[in-house]
Order: sequence, then C-alpha cells, then structure tokens
Amino acid sequence: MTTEVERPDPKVLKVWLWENGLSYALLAVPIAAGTVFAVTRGANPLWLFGTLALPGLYLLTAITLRLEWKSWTFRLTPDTLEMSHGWLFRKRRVVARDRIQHLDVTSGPFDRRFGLVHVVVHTAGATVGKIPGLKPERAERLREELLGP
Amino acid sequence: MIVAFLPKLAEALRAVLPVFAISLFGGRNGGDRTELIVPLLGVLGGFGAIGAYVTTRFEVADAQIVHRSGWIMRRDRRIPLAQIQNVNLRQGLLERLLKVVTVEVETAAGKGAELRLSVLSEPEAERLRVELMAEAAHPHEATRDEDVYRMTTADLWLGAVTEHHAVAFLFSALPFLGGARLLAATAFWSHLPLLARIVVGGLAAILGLAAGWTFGAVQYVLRYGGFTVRREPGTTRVVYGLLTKVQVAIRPARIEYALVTSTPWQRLVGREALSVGTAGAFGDQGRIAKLALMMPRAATPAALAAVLPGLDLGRLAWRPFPTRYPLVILARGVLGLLFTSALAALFYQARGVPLRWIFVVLPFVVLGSTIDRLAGARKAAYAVDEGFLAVRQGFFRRRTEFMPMARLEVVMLEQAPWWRRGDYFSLVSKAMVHAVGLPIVPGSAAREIERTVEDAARRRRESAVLLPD
Repeated sequence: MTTEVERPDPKVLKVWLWENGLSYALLAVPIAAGTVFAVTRGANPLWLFGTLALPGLYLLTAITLRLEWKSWTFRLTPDTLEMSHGWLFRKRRVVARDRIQHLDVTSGPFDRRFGLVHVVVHTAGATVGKIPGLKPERAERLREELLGP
Repeated sequence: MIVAFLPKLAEALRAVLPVFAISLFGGRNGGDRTELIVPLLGVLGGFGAIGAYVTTRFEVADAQIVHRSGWIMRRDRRIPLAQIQNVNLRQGLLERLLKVVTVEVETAAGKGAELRLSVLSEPEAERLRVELMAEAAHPHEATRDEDVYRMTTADLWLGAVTEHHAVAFLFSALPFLGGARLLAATAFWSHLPLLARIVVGGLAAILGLAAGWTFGAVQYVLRYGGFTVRREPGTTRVVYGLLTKVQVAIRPARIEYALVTSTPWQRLVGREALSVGTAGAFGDQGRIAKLALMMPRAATPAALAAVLPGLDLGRLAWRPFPTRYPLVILARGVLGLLFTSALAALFYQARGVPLRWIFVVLPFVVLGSTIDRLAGARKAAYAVDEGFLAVRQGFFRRRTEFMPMARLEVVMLEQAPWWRRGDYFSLVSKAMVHAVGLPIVPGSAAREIERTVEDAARRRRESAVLLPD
C-alpha cells in the first residue's frame, strides 16, 4: 500500500493554462470589440492599450497556476486520503477512507488532449474535493484502492 | 376515502390563508380576485390526494420498505431499513380528530422526507414505526420503555416567556407590514408634532412587542406542550405538541452532532437546551431535533451521555482558543458588517423590492453575533480526545457543540498566509450533514484531530471483520 506523497502530473499545468487561456480569449473578444467601437465613436485611442491588460493578467494567472500546481499534493494512507493545495491560502483535507462513497473520474477536452483525468471524491454528506491531473491508470488504481474490497 | 381528502384539504386551506391575509391587508381592495385560484388549486390537490391514497401501497419486506405509488407515472421506491435515520409521526389537529397519522421516513439523502405515508390509522402507524426501527434494537439493551425526560408545566411556561420571539413576531406581522395600512399609519405619524410622535411611536413599539411576545409564547406552548423523551429499545422517541402532535423517533447510534445552548434567561433559572442531529431531517424542526428545551443544568451531563454514549463531560480537557482568536472574530465581524451594510444600502434604495427592511436588519444581526462572540472569546474553548470533538462559544447565547469522532468524515483545514508563522489553522470537521468549526486552532491541535480521525478509521477497519456496520 502506497503512503508516499503524490503530485498531479506536470502536464496538468498545461491543461490549466489552456483552460484559462480559452476563457481569457473569450473575455477578450467583447472587450476588444467594445473598445474599438468606443474609439471609432471618438473615445481616446489610448484606451486601446487597455486591452493589453488582459495578456498581462493572463501572465499573472499563469504564475499563480504554477504556484498552485507546485503546492498540490495528495497522499493515500492505510486509513485516510489526504489532499492539500493552495499557495496563498493553504487548504488541507483529510477523509476517512471508509467514509468515501464514490469517486467520479472526469475529464474535459483539454484534459483529454493531454491524456489526463481528474478524480472527484464524494462522501455521503459532501463532495470532498477534486484531485486534478491524474493519468487514467493512476485514477483507476486509486478507485480500486479506495473502493475495492 | 373522505378521510384521505380532509387533511389534504385542510393543508391546502392553510397554504391559502397567508395569501388571503396579504391580499386583504395589502391594500388591493376590489381587485380581480386572482387569489381565488389558490384555493381552487387546493381543492384539486385534495382530489389528487385521494387518487394518490387509493393507488399507494407499501409493505416492509426483506429488510426494506417497499413503496409503490402513482397512477399514470408509477413509482417503486425501496429503502433499506438500515439506511433510515429517523422516523417522524405527525398529527395535525384534523388528523387527531380523525385518528390518522402521517409518517415521514428520513434517510441521509436529499432534503426533506424520503417517504411520506399519510392517513395511516394510529395503531398502524405505531406498528410501522416499530417495524422500521426494529433493525436498530440490540438484544442486550433494556427492553423496558422509560420516560427519560418530561418537561414540567412550569418549565413549559418559563420557556414560552423566556424564548425570544422576535422572529416569530416578525413573521406573524409580515402580512401587516409593507402594505397600505403601514403606509397610512406612517403618514399619520409623520404629521404629528415631535412629542406626540415619540409617545405614539413608543407606545406602538411597546404594544407591538407585547403582542408579538404573547403571540410567540402561546405558539411555543401549543407547539411544545407535553414535551416528553422516551427511551425504547434501539430508539429514542420525542413526543410534543398540543395541537399538532409530533413524534420523532431517533436512532441514538446515528446521532452525529449534539448542541447544548443557553440564553441568559435560561441561565437565570438554571436551565439549558439540548438538541441533536442525525443525517436525516426532523420534519419542521429541520436538521436539528430538540431533545430538551428547558433542562435543569445538573441533568445535562447525564442527558449528553445518554445521546452520545461514552461522552463524559467531566473528563473533557477544555483548551482555550489561541490568544489571537478575538482578532479573528473582529476581522470576520467587520467583513460581515461591510458586506451586509452594502447589501442593505443597495436594497434600501431599490424602492420596488418588497420586504427590503429585512436587509436593514441584517447588519444588526451580524453586529449582535460579533459582540456576543467577542464577549465570549475569553471563555471560548475546545476539547479533543479520541472520542469527541467539542467546541464552546458565545457569551449571552452560549453554545457547546459535540461531534463523535466515529461519525467524522472529513477534516478541512485552511491556513491564511498571515497564519503561517504562528502555525494556526481554521478547521471544519464534517460528519454526514453536520459540521463543527474551529475558527482558529494551533497546528498541533489540527494535526491531533487529523490523527484521531485516522485512528477511528483504523479501529473501524480492524473491527470490520467482527462487526459489519
């Protein structure tokens, strides 16, 4: 039985970057369109530089995502599952293994692109947390370890 | 069949009454009477109830309750008896006259009762309850039923008067507030000279408060009259209510949370209240069932030990919260105050929103609870041992929470950057439904709680072969 501290796959960082990049891009379209519209209507053309704030924000997000990935660990002990993450606010969860009701293995389009899944842990009362960036084999093994006989 | 119809009709009428009251006092005189649709729906619902009653069948078989219902869309629901958290028997006034009972079966799933069987005869309901809870009975337990706690009449009236009825009063006054009458009254009031304004306003406030308090007290007596706790094999039964009679059957083994509260008035007469929670709900009481409303303080340890076996109040080693606990309360209070004030300012300007004054009350509620916590910070404490987690907070309204480690499922810790150096955490320990929160604990205590949960899990694993749960 493994009790070593495990981490999400490094590729999950790319998944997160893509996911965030997409949402930033979607956000950028209406903002850019609005700015261009305003400038054609006689607003100060300097406003166009404001659109540049978005790539800057994205860069900042990328840095925090990297910190977030670095801070993510989980550990399966004989009786509990421990998860901890968070670089600014550190969060840590400990679940008694026999209280886990079921696990969901899910993957978004970007997860699939990089061959990863994430595992959502449920107890009777609550969704305890989501372990991101697992290889499907590891997720399957985790499921067996946690819910197997 | 008519028996099935009547309670439903009464239910529909009850649902309609507030609508009538609001339309009556809301100043919509000579309107289009669209509100008449509601009682019509009620009557239709009554006929629907007959249909449901005729087509419903249930039985207890193979350690399951099987419930088949529906006419066009058929439904077959089976609940294993082991999953049942509590069983509530409810009898409205009309149901009592007709000698029928509504049985609610509660599991940990979802909100509200998972199964509602209405219009059962009294002996039938009683038999069903015993059958449903039979699984929980252990052969080695005492088989004799006994009354554990019976609220005295003096305590009932004491409780009725000392309970604060502000909320009950506000809700009872809702139909009268915000309507044309209130507008007319305030218009009249604002035309008075200053002195008269103060006198009239003050009198109105005192009268309103007295009326509200009396209303709340009477409601309390009607609701909780005859409050008795009985212990039976495998279950604890709580019976109360003068008009609507409610019986809540709890499996002590399922209790995951206990709460002892006391208000200053209660302490003045040496009383405390005890409530418990399982993963199921308790009808209109929600997630927490009251086990004792006005219990002599001396009886608390024994009562607690009865609901949470193994809990010895005298043996708990209480530890004070870290010294920066007041700072935490203050920070949270200020944040909460800012948020609710912003909300109040926002909604108070939106003229069209009904009940906008509720948002004005919110900051005062936050302020009150912050002051209460701050005053109680010095006395606030927590205790951890292999059996239980306990937290004591509050000054005016004191509350002590208990959670058995065996029922704990998740420990959630959070550490803000400014708590790194001192190694402090905020902690929430969750059972199936209930949670006990520690706003700030030293890392050592947090790790201790984690270890205790791990130990409890290990003990369960090692004894799993002997005692399947």
